[in-house]
Amino acid sequence: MTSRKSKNWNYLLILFASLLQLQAVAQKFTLSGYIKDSSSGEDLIGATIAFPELTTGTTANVYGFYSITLPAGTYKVEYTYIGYQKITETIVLDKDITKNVELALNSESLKEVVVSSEREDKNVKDVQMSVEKISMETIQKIPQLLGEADVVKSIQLRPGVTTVGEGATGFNVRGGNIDQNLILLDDAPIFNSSHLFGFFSTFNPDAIKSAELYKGGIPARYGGRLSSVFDVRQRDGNLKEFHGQGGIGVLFSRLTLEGPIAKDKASFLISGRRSYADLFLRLNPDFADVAAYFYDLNAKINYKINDNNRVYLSTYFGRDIFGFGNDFQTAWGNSSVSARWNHLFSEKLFSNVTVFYSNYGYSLGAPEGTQAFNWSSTIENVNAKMDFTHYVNPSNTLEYGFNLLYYNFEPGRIEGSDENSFFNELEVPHEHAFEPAVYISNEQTIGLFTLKYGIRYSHFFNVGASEINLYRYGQPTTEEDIIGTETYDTYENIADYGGFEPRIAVNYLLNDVSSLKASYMRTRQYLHLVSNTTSATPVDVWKPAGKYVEPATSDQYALGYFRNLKANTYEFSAEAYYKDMRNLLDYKDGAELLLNENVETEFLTGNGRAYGLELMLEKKKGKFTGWISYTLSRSEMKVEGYSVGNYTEVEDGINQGDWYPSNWDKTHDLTIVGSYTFNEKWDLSGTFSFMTGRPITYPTGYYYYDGKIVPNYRYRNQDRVPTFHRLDLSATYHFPDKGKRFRSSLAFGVYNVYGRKNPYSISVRQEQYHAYQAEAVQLSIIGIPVPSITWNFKF
Amino acid sequence: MKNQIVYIFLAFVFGLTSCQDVIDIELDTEDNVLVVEAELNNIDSIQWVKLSYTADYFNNPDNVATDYTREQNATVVLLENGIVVDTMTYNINTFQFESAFTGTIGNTYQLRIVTTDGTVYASAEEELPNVPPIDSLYYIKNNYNDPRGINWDIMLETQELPEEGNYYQWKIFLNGAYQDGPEDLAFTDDSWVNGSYIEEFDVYTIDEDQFIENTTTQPYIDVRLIQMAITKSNYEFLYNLQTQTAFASTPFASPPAEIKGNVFVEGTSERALGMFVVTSYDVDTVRVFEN
Repeated sequence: MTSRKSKNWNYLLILFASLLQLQAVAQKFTLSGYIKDSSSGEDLIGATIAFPELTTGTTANVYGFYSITLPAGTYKVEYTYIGYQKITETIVLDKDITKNVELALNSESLKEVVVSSEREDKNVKDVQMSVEKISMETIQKIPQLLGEADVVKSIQLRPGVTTVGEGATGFNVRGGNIDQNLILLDDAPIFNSSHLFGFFSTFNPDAIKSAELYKGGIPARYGGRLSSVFDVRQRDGNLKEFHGQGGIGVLFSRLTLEGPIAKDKASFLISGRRSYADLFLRLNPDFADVAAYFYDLNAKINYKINDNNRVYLSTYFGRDIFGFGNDFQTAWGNSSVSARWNHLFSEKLFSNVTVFYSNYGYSLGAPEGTQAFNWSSTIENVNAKMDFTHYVNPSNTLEYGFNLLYYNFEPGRIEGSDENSFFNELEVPHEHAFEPAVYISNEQTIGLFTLKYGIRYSHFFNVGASEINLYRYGQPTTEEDIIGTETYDTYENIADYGGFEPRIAVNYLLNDVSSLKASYMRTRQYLHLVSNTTSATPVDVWKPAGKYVEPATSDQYALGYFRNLKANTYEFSAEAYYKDMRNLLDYKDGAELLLNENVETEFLTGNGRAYGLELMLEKKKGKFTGWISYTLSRSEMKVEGYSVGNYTEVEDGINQGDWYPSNWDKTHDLTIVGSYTFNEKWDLSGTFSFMTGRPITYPTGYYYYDGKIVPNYRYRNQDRVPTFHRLDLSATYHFPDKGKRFRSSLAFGVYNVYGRKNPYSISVRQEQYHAYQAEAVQLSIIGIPVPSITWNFKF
Repeated sequence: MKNQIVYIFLAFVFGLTSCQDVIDIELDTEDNVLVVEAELNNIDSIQWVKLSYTADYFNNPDNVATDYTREQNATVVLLENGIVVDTMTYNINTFQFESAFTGTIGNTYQLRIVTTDGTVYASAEEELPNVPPIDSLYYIKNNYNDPRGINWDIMLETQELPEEGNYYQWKIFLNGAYQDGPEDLAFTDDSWVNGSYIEEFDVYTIDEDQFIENTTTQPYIDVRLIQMAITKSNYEFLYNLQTQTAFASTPFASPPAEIKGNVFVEGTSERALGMFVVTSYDVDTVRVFEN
């Protein structure tokens, strides 16, 4: 007798084993190597290797490695990368050949604006859909608040990506909450992607090589979040010569240094930013004791041991710091360290081993006096993983690998920090978890079809040492229903969950310039961000799946039409998606989530659904570049109640258990981004955003209590704030370099040009000077035009 | 207390950049819901219950005393340890039901209300908690080099009770006027301070504008502090009251929601709004001068 599970595995093995049958009997050889920038030695991710006579080819992976196996013969091979000079060579493929290629920047393209760092027709021919990538050159031009280029804010201008409002932390992808995005920096997860509560991202654009957002059809190598993967990679550092770049802006300054440690063998990059608003504030005696700043540091070393081995070590450390003298101080931030080893087992088998440590933590406190206290919280993450890319034949590229994650959650600890303090020690119990996963996928070309199919299996173990509450009715109803605790030893299993995550994508090439794509993915998420505020705060904590919290799961279906026009100058795409989400966390009314030892009593569980249509037209070449995107979408939640025994507090659920709009539901979202290069000296850029206001809850009545006007509410998110729209402009003047190595530019910008007071929220309150009268108040985060000037330089 | 700590620093940062405007909005109306505001303690000679109904949000009366919709003809019964001890009578001068009964620490109390439409409401049974005395009340004048500027902290010293699970509220009166704004709510549980001797606890802060406003007729402010021991359900009610009133205008506001109290339609999970407060208290005063 065979179980269903083992039958599934059998089918899987048969499926992948059949690939081996696809290899031709004729003698074949492999051409492989790395493709790099000739001036810096940086890997050229996605560079194309084409064999025109065979109408086949391949692309370089995220480490710049390529491999293709062909029948023996003599071929013309073209190495291309947009913005670089093409190299065409004749290869006699009578044995396995390793060929590393360095492409030089095209001098013409230095004058012409090219906004892509990938293959020109990738939009049409690649099987991957629902992916957003903006080149760092474009990001540098997009006008942003205070003139600071921002990777995360730029990706929010793409279809399907929104936020709950200006200055909000994180972003929402296709109707998902912000905790459903896996944000990676050199493979290490970043748990809070914002500085200054969301005004700026943690990613220093000078240190970033590429940033890619997968909104759907997420490759099987990624897992752990429901809605998206934002894969950010740091630059490796120049292998050829020493360079630097930086900028001095209104809010903060940047400096990046890079160069060879051993030419063409090893390089370094170090990059830092610090804001200095606090330095100016302190000039005013009324603000002399205020601390308010942030900083971050990126560093990377890479060393090419030989043609088959290369290692990388990268790190990130960032902090936001606020305080009033000795009365109140707070700090929070991410840190991560990643070590990677690229190894070629053969010309066809590329491997990457990654080990990382990642941490997010915060602290609040008052250092002196009887009320001195320190409140801290941390989430730590250690990971080891191996990824293999097996270039089986020109029609099949197999990817497989495994990883093992370990989590340590310290949700909160408070203690008196002075011997006179009257605060006691209180600590929310730590939690620990392991998350192993394995995956395999294959990208296969069959005629006009390209398929990518794979499967991921992940499992999550919440383990001791820990004491777990036991509840009267078996469910975490209230603190009063706790009837005891259950003790678990170190690494003893408390609860575990797991499941398969199939990923399927197909591309049907209608012709050379258009294609139809479809994808399906299941994703599983074992962590929840415990937050019930409109915008997440730095003091929110993560809760792992465990005895009383199940993992969230999602199925997403997407269908798209892709068309390039005028020799790939224009790209058009239309994508429709439907996403079904289960086991999403919501909270009881008035939930107390911080430093709560029994926080599970505050949880409710619900489902979500999101669907929409995304349209995009982008001009990628020429003096004028930019895009227009429009998204029509809906994102909803459904939280049904329950009652058990005498517990009836949440029996009606939220909104009587009916579907209601999520906080980030925005029906219409239109974005126009344009950049025009007048000449070698001047660029002009602009961004216009227009979107439906987010859902909001208005009161249905009021009453007086203890001298206060108290609003009363019935159903959540039944109204909306007014429409959001904003225009940002910038102009950049490039100083003539006169052949010198030092180049600089001045970027002038105005954020919110016409001073629109976009409503972040509308709330009600009693009038300040007439306590028994009520009024409605609109909160605008930035309600005035904000000019900026930034000096950027390179040498 | 953690609620206040978090909001203080979040509000500070957004205070630097955000702006608020009073606007007009249109709201749906709702049916009237009974609101119970009641207090029973172990000291006062009169215990009281105010009954009213919710109204459309912007339909605020010019004269609250006379124009606010009140329930005057209900039957209000007070129970001690499950036994009826008094039927409260309506006082047309104070607009509240009153009783001369006095509570006892450690006993449990319940309200039963039958409104004019015949609906029967019953509060949860609440135990009257014990309050520690105020040992000392004094003030410190501060001059900060930050947005707080000059202010006067009202400092409290008291012994927190040894067992876990105590809850406190403080009410402040300046020259006899109860400071009843949402931002004046002050309450905490003992989870961080259980059994500690509470020294130099700044329970309330008078800012410079408040000081000027309250010293126009005399060069000082008479501050009266009531330290109340409250029940857990009252603490949770105050937590939500603060969240829904004082902190509702920030980007980090919790979802608007009905504030759940401890009065139910009998035999159901349906609730009236408001709270039956069962408390004991201690009082102290201090006179605050400019220096």
